[in-house]
Amino acid sequence: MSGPTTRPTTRSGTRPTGKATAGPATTSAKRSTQVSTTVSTTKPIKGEPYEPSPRRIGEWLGDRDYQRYLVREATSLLLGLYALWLLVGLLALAIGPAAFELWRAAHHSPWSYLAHLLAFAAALYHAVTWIRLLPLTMPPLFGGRLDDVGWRRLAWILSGVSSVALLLYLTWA
Amino acid sequence: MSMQRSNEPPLWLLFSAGGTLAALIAPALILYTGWVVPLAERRGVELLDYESLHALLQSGVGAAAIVVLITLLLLHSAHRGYHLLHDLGIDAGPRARRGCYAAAAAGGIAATLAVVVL
Repeated sequence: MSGPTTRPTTRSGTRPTGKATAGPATTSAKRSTQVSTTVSTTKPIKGEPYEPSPRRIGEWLGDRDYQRYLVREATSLLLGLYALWLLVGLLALAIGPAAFELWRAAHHSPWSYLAHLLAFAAALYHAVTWIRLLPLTMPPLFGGRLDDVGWRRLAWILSGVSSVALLLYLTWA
Repeated sequence: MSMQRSNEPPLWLLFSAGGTLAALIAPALILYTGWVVPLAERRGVELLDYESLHALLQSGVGAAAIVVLITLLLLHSAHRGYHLLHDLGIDAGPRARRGCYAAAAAGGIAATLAVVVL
């Protein structure tokens, strides 16, 4: 199941874990062996700045997991464009009602609906993968408090509650 | 011999904060501002109109929230964008790296100025 994959974050992160959560010692040991196989060429020496190993152009072409990782990275670009669009709206608001109405009116264009749909899809993909990977990305400080399924469940609840609270606030504020 | 300190940890921290914020609220927010608000307006329901947003952003919490949201999302995107170049095999160099973060910071400053002017 885990196979010879070199990226522990993709496979083991997405599997619903029955066995993996049996004990923190086993998971961390498993993880460290996987990591050691990947970075053995760039041995980090204490005190030296971390230099990621260079990648060849097109290296991603034959690697499914790597492609998925790149898609996940690319979602941030749409998030950035959305933030820029919010910034434009905020600047329009600061300029005055006429400018703000122009920004508002732009949302009725079919291109705007399409762009927001793409941004929504990217944000959703980011959110779902973020939650699936949470047990791996969680700072060690909070490590043993919950198992993998517990962390994911907590993140789903937190995401749902904060989204609903935000929308209610924006609608009735 | 003094060792040069890396500026990576705070940048990764900001990146991670932006990613967390995006994971928690971005899908709902995008759907709301991009679809719900304009569709509601077509049916005569005004959401997020000038007066209410103006009032919302004149409260300290509202102003801080929008500045933090925009800044963190921009920093998240700039950081990922730069690393995406590396992962695609493109060596963009330190100047491009600084440019990415500077552009995001400029966006954050613009957002701050906007809420100060309001």
